[in-house]
Amino acid sequence: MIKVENVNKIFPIAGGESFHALKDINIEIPGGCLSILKGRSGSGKTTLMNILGALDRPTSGSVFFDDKNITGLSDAERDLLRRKEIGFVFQSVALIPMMTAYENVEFSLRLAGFEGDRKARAEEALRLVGLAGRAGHLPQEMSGGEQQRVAIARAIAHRPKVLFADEPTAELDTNTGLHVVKIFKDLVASEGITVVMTTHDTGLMEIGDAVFELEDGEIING
Amino acid sequence: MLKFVLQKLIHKKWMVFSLVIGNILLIAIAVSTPMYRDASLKRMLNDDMDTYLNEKDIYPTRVIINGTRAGSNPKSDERFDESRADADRLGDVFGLPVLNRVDHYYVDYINTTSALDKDVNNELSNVSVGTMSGLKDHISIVSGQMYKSEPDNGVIEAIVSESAFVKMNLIVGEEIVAEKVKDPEGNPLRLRISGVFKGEEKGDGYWVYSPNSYVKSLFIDEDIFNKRFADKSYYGRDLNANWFVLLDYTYMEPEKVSEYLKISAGFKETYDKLVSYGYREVFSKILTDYQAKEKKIEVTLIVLQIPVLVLLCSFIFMISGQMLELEQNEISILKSRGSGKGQIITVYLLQSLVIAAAGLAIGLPFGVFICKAVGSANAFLEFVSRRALNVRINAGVLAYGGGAALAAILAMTIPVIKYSNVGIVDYKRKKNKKKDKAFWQKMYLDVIILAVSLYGLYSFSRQKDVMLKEVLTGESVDPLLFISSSLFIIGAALVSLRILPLITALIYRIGKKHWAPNTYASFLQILRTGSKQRFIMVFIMLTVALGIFNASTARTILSNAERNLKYITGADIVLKEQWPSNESSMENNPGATLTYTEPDYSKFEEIPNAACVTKVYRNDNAQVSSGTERIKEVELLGIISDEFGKTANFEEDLFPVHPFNYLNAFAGNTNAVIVSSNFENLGYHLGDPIYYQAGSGGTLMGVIYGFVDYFPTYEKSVKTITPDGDLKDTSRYLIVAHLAKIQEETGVLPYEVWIKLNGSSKEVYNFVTERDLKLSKYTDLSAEIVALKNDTVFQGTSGILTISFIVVLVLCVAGFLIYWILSIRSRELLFGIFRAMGMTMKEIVLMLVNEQIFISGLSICMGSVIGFVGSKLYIPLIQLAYSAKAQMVPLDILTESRDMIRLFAVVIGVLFICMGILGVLIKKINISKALKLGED
Repeated sequence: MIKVENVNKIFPIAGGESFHALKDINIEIPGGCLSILKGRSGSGKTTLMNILGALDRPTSGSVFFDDKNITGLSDAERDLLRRKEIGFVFQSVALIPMMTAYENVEFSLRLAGFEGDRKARAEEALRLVGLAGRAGHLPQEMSGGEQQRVAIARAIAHRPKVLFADEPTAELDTNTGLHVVKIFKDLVASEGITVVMTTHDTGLMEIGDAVFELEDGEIING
Repeated sequence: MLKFVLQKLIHKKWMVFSLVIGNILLIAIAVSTPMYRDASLKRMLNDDMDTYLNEKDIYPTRVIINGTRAGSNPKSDERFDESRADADRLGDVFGLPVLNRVDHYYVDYINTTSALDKDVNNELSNVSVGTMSGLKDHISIVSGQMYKSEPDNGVIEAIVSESAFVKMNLIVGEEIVAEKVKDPEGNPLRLRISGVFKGEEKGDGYWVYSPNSYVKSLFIDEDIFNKRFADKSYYGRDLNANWFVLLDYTYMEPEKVSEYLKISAGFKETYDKLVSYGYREVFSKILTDYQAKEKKIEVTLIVLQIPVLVLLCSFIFMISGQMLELEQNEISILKSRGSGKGQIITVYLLQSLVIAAAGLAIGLPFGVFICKAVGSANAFLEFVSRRALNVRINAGVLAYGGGAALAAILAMTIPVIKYSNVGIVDYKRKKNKKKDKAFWQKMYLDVIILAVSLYGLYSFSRQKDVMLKEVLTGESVDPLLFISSSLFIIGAALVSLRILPLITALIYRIGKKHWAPNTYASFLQILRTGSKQRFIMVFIMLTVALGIFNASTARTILSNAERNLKYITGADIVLKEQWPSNESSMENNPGATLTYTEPDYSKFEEIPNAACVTKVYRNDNAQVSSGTERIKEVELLGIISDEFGKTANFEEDLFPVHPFNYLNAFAGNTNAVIVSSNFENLGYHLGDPIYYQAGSGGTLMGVIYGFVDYFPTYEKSVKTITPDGDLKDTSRYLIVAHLAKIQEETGVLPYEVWIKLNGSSKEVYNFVTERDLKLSKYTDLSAEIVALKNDTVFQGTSGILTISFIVVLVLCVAGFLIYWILSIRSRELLFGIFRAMGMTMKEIVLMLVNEQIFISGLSICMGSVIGFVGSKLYIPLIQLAYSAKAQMVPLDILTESRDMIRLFAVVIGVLFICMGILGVLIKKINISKALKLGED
């Protein structure tokens, strides 16, 4: 599904020096299953995920999305890719604050140019995360877990091929976190999408179909 | 603590910069008011005195104290000495330098006879003998010689003025004797006329009375006078004195005017009670007139500045609110860590003190600059260099500056009190709560403000006559009128905040299903975060509305005054020569008729840059016989129609068709007359005959060729104040007839010469002076307009409105940029989310454009509407305050397109600059970094 070849990421830092965040990463993420990027904070997992999700560009190397090299794409093409094929869930809840749960989900459908009944699909997506009853609520009226589930609903509503989730459980308590991960599993099963999530929570490792562990910018298992 | 505050300030440099700008402007404007007022009042006071001096040729601040010491009454010695002492201390009492002091002591009612044996010499009774200090420096001897300081053989030498010399029929060297005035030894007083003098004008005001007014006075040496006349044991006569004191009015201070009046009134009261003592001056009248004007100016100046001061305060309030919003997190943390409310407030108080101090330091000199700018305002947004104002920084100015700084400190600190109560937990909780309506919206304060302003408008419109009366009697217009116009603008802007979101919501709903994602998101942003935009919307509306209102007010007031002047004057130059007549000989021959000799008229056609010249006969006392009735109050104009058409200043829009149509029709018949339309009310119709008389002449018959409401110089109605203090409206009638027709009946009577100029009026002035023409009237329209523009009230109005307008523009730029930059900064995370979801940069920019349209664009439109409506409603009333006399031509609310272009160019320019800056800011947002922001 996603193939990473010799990806390096170097950030310039103050004083003319640079920080080598990712070193020669080579991995292949299988389609239709839940993959986990594991590592301590600062190990480079978020950087890697941002590159996988076309939010950021590698300093060198290539990323193939469905056999298409996305590293060379223009900004506009990358925007379109994110819009249609990719969904994001972030560690901090990143809902659009002035939109209700339903509107947040529906907005991503608008953005993706979803053809069909946006209303039905948005409601379905909310049902998938178990929040059909909270559709009319604004983010600030919901708990952290609920917000994260709305974010997931929003991320998968337009039926992306891949869902990237960056530490989706980090700010949630264990039970809610497990619930979120369970939703991912269900989505993989019911919608057939590929889920890539990062975590530092070792308890969640077993749930993943594939696990990649990062340490100091390098894959140490794989 | 101070170090902490300073670091904090450096950290937020842009906001601090805007706050300092706001403070500087607020303080500068506040101090410029008293500075301009004092400086221009001083100038006005001086001008009033100068005018009096030039017109009457009397020094306005001269004081004459006179008194008589009765020879027989020892008690009067004391009073006499006191009066002299009064004259001595006058300068000190008024606090003004004494320019000149002249003492004239004399003994009068001396009957003398000439020692010469002359035929007719009956003018030597009741002469006075006196001495005047400093006389010899202010005269020149035209015949004979100066008196000697010692009696010559018992004969005292004296000099007389030329008029006295003639009147008393004297000869130089002649000796006159007063038989009844005897010295202790019984010798009669003997005087010899040693010479004749004429006065020398040295410009020091020495000659309070013209030398030729001393027709019965003999002036002798001071020592001799003192020994013989001032000493009552010598001749034992009553001694009279005139003490002339000339005070220097250029040192008069406007703020001491009432003190001057009080002092003078005190003297007057004392002297009025005394027999044969007097205290006279003319300046009290001038100062009283001045005080009436002063009040008007003071009220006008202050009131004109209120809106912009309010705007500045709200600007400071807005910026510091924004700053607090950004610092709320820090404040909450401080609070949660145990900082007391007092401590937090102290930090902010200290901060605002630093900012206000900076504002004061720069604002004061900047205020001087503004004051000078106001003083050189010629019209709205127009400055000329003219006599500089003498700007001083006095206690009053400092008080205003301090007051403004205090207001600024309050505006900066008060919002902190609200924030300082909030701990971090409350803050987070509050952040997650929907914002409520503002308190004033809940209390319907906006509606109330608007209602009050409209009620003000309603009640003022009903009392228009009362207001006009007040203005005509020199009172200032009720300041509440100005305030109610400001309230209207504020109230309407606030009420619009209820209306504008509804418009946006309506448009949003119309296309809800079909909006592109970015438009959709921006609508939700606008509609759901309304409370944050309230301030900037109000601010934009106030800016635009105030800009339009100020521009229209300034333009309208000046242009109407100009139009009025132009209409009433009639032509560029209107002059009237003094015609030689037999008037003087009529005294001796009461039966003769008054006849005039027409001076040569053709010379006026030689004036170099006169485009056109015509004769206009004007008679304000013409009469019309209508049946048995007799209508007085008729103004008769005798014109030569084609010349008049080319020369007079016609305002075309005052006539239903082009005024020349009337003149053309009129030209066709020698009997034709154009009359005022109020004749129609008396039953006259077109084509009717009308019988009128020009003064003493016989009755003329005219045929009505047209009715007009306006005609150059014709005043439809005259508003006067009756002795009872009521406003009286007298309507006046007009008949315009052919000059030739009138002259046929009355003979050639003095007419005015109207001149249309092709350039400057200076040539006409030179022409008149070169030929030494004697004129009884000379009105130069351009000079009158300059005088109008220089008038303190008009100038202050133009100046202040211009400055306010510029300040409004500056605030608009600053407020707008700050609001939007902050708005973008606070939404970086949101933009990150949008970008992560695949929204393109272009879409985000379009989203902001949409926001601009519905926040700024709608506000600009609404502000324009408020500005125009406000102008239409209030200017007709405000204009009253400026009418020196009743408005003759109908009021025309004037909005100059160039002002509007300036205003909108700046506003729209700012909008674009702003969009550019925002574009750059957005481009700089790094998605992954922005998203990290959310992790706090």
